[in-house]
Amino acid sequence: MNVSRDIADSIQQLYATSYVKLIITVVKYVPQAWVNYKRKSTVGWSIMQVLLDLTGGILSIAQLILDSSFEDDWSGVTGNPVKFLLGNVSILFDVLFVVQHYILYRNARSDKDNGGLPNVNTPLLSNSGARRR
Amino acid sequence: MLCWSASFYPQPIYNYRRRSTAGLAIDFPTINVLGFVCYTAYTAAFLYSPEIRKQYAARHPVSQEPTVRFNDLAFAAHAMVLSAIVYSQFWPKIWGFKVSRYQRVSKPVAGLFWGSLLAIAIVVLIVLIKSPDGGYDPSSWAWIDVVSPYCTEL
Repeated sequence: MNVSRDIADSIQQLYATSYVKLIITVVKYVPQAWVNYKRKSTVGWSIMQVLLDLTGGILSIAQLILDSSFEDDWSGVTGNPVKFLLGNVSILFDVLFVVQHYILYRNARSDKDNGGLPNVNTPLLSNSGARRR
Repeated sequence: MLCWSASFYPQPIYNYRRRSTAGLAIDFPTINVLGFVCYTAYTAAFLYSPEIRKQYAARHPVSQEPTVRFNDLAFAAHAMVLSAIVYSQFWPKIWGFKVSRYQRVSKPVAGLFWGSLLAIAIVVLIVLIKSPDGGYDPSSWAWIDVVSPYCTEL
């Protein structure tokens, strides 16, 4: 009796925390995606960090798939595919950042990035050097 | 795990090279610092606090050993330090970097930050009020409720 309640509790807790994690991941990545969109540029946001995080995420999914195939138990993947994807929502954001960096705003990257300080291309009346071009 | 650990280095190095944080939203480092402070506290408590381990065993009679391992703590502590470094780069007094005055924490993230701290404070209060012996009886509200569920998911 005590044992089954124990298991029910931990499953309940798992569900609750995975939704909290989802909310926090969304809330913490959206501002950066928005800043990139407003500036039409990913300058200042390290793409290496995104690529490494994406690699880590893909490897972790690969491990889950391998584990599932070894134990012949695919419930972790197929049990609730939506939840599986949402649980890895940071991967979706990583993909968004890759698209922003390499496709949408690829022209915004200059060879002489000086950290957003005004340079010869900065309009004299601009109040923000970061928004040149 | 190696990729995730390595992923904390490019941003601070990139900021350092540019001597600037322009273009980086402050929200991500802010929430990361809080998240990894909590995650470090959680792994450390489950690894090294005899009281927390005792309470865990009392609550999980089937598998009494927590699944936290030392490499979890190493990852958490490492991530905490690196996130704190990125956050500190938004303070021109420390690094002398160019920081735009528009770089403020957004309202949802600020709400999440203070909400999380408030939630932890509320659980501490509940433990102090509800527990018959100041948080040590695992069958009631106990200290394990402070470190376990709420902190780990940032």
